[in-house]
Amino acid sequence: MSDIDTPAPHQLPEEPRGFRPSARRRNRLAAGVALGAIAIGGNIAVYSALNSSEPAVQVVRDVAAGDAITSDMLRTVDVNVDATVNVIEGADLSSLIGQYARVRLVSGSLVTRQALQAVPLVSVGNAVVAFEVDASELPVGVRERVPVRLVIPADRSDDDQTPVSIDGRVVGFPTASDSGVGTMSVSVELDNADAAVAASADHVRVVLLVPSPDPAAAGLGE
Amino acid sequence: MSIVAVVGDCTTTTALALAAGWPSEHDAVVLEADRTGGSLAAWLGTPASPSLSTIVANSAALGNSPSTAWSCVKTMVRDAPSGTRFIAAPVRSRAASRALSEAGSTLFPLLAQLIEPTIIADIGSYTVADAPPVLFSLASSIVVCHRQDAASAGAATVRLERLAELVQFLTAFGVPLTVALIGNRPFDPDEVGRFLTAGGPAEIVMHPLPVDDLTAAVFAGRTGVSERRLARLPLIREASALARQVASADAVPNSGRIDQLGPSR
Repeated sequence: MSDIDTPAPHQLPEEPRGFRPSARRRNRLAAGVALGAIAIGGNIAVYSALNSSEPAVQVVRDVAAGDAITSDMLRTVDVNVDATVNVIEGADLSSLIGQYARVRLVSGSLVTRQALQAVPLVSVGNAVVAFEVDASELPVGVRERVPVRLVIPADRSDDDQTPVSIDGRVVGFPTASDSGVGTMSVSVELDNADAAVAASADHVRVVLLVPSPDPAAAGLGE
Repeated sequence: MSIVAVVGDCTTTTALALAAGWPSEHDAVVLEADRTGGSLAAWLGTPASPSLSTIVANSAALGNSPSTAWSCVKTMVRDAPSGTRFIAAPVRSRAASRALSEAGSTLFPLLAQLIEPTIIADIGSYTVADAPPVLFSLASSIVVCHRQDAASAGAATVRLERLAELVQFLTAFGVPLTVALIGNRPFDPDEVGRFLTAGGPAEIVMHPLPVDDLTAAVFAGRTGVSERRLARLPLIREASALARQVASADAVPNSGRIDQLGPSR
């Protein structure tokens, strides 16, 4: 005879033996958490170091050589550069106001102390004379603040006349002249007494001299 | 009761669940008797040796009395950290098959005479087309595990046909037969029970078990589930009820098969 017997679901039980599952590996969990924390801390340290930017002084518009620095010409920007990069700290911006640009400062570039000086390019007793020379007659290496010698050739028709030499220092980087193709405009600072001779000369040749310390850069570390 | 044979689907998990739910005043040892190879040592985190092969290799020390045999065997019974006591089968199927063949004529008849502990034998899957394991004839109770195929009624039905064939075959051994039906879909356990007994005078006990993958995973070695949480999971609760039902069954050692080995302890 067929008989299906389904047990009552809640018979009074004896105490079962039980099964003790494997314990959580707490040491491994702790080690994992510690490693995770170390990894997170390491990442934070690395990325914090990568983001160690500091303020530096930047030019916000073009400044011609010789211009006095005003507050609207400069600002501070956060830059992340190697310690060997030559910049001026942002905290020193106020000390730059009133100084003079030794060279042309291009908008957007960072300012260096060597690009500024405390005195005007044209100091007392000096004058700046601009003249044109053929680009082919301009020695290679002419740049700002290098010493040059201006030579005014003698008139060939006058045997008694001798060439005139005037020492000076280039003020600005030679630029293409607006008056003719192939000519360069050069501005040279020279003694006030020689200014008229140089300014009235029809033809001036430029001789590049051995570089010498720039008196206007005194105290700037050059 | 001496040997409870567990056969069918998910037998290793069910055997462990039975051992876990076995009444505490009785001792139970899981015997892995699966010809396809053993998994218990790995599941329970113990070395693979000693195994059933170790025991049968020392069959000369078993003697002819159950007490002598058990005193030898119990030194090789493994105590898992979970509290489960077990005898593992060799991992590889060929070694496991050889060890079971040898144990069928030496060890198992002696274990069948024991009053304590109860041996919960995990036989694994079996089809009536194969030669029956000797444990069927030595068992004092048989638990048939069947996991319903929830994919479709058709898929479940063909498996139930084979289950009915197995049940009819096992009733011939004349011992209490319990069908542990895992899952209640697509067919209700009562419906399945009526189907299984429709073909003949089979007397079976139907016992539903839930599909509980988490408990099965814990038995297979998963960590991270506390003992308290495990005790609340459905398979543990239902398996405890099944264990109580099997343990309380009026079963005695199958003396008809062991007369030649001497009286029970």
